[in-house]
Amino acid sequence: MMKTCDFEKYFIDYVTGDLGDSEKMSFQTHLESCSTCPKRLDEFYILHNKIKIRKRSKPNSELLAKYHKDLSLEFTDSSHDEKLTKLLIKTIQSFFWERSLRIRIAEVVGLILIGIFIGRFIFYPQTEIIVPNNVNPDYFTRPISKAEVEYINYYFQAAELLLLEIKNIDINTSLNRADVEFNKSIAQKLLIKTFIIHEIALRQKDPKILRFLSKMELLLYEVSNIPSEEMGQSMAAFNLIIDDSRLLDDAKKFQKDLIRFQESNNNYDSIIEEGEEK
Amino acid sequence: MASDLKFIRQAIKGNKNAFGKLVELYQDNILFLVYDYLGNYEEAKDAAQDVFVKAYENLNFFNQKAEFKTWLYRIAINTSIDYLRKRKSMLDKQNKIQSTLSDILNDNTAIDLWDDVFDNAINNLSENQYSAIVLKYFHDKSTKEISEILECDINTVRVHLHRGIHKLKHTYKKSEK
Repeated sequence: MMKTCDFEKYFIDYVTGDLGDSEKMSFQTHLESCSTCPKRLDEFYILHNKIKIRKRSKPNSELLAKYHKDLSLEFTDSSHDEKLTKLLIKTIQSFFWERSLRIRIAEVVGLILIGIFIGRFIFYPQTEIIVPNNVNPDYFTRPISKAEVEYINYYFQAAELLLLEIKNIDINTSLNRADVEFNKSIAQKLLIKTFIIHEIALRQKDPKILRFLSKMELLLYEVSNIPSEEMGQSMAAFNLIIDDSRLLDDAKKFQKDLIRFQESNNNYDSIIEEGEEK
Repeated sequence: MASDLKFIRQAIKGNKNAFGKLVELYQDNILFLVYDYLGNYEEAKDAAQDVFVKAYENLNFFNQKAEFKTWLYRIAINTSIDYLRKRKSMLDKQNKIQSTLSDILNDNTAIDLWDDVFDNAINNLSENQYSAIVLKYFHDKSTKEISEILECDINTVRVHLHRGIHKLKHTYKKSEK
C-alpha cells in the first residue's frame, strides 16, 4: 500500500486554483521530489472530474413556482385583511390536519361552548328595566327639580330638629312620655321621607348625602321602634351615636349648601363640587 | 455585499419586504443546497422555507460584519442535517434503516442522478466531509468560504475534503472491481 503524504490535502485546492502563490510554489516543488504524490494527483484528477460532472436533477417547475410563491407570500408585508385571512386559513388547516382526534373533539366542544356563551348575549339579551306605564321613563335620569331641592331642605331641617330634640333630652331626669312619643312619631315620618331622599340622592349619585342617609336611617329605625319603657336607656346610646356620627353637623351643613344652591340658581352638581372642595 | 446589509438593516427594523428581497436573491441557491443533502425536492422545499424563516427570526443575531450568504448557508446546512436526522430516526423506528441516502429516500420522483458509487460513499462520509464536498463541488465555494460556512480552519476543511474524497475514491475503486 502506498504511503500517505501530507501534501495530498492540497490536491483539491491545487486543482481548483485555491492555493495561494507561496503554497502553490511549495506544492509544485514537492511534486517534483515526491514519489507518491504525482501518481495520486493523477488518480485524484479522474475522481475530481467524475464528481464535478455530476449534475443534480432539476426541480419540477410547478414545485419551484410554488416554492417561490410561498416565500414571496411569507416575506411580504401583507395588508391587515390578508394577514387575517392567512391566519384563518392557517388555523383551519392546523385544526383539521394537524390535530389528534381527541384534541379535535375537545376543540369542537370548546368552540360550541363559546358559541353558546356568545349566542346567549346576542339572541337573548338581558331584559330591559320595565317601567310602569304611569311613571315617566325619564324619571331615573332627569335632573333634580326645584321642588325636590325644597323637599330635601325640609328633610334636613326636620332631621336637625329631631336630632337636637334627642340630644337635649336630659337622661338624668324622668322622661316625659308625651315627648318621647312625639319624637317617635317624628322619627317614623322622617324614616319614610328618608327613603324618598335616598332615591333622589342615588339618582344624583351624591355619596355624601347617601352616607348621611344610611346612618340616619339606622338611627330613625331604632328611635321609631324602641318601646317607650326602654327609651331612657336608649337615649344615652342615641346621644353617643349622634356625637360619633356627626349627623347633626352634616344636617346643618347640607342645609347651608342647599340654601347657597337655591340662591345661585345653579345646577345640582355644584352642591357636590362645593362640598368636595371643603 | 453592501446591498445585503442595507436590506438586513431594514428587515431588522421590521421591514419584511426588505427581507423578501434577500430571499429572492438566495432562494434558489438555498433550495439546491438543501436538495444536495436531502435528495428530494418536496422535502427540500419545506426545509429551504424553514431556513429563511429561521434566518428572519434570528436576524438580530447576525453579525453584520460577516457575509449574509455565508450565514444563510450555515443555517441551511444545519437545517438539512436536522431534517436528515429526523428522517433517519423516523425510519429507524419503522425498522426501515437502509444503507444509502438514496435508498433511505426511496423516492423515484427525485430522479437522483447520483450513481450508486457516490450514494454509497456519501452515506459513509461524516457530516463535515459531506458538507465540504457539496460546497466545493456543487456550489463552487472556495476552501476559505467553506471554512467560514463550517466555522472551522482552512486546513481542517482541506482535511475534510481530502478524507472525503479518499473515501469516495475507495468506494469507486471497489465498484470498478
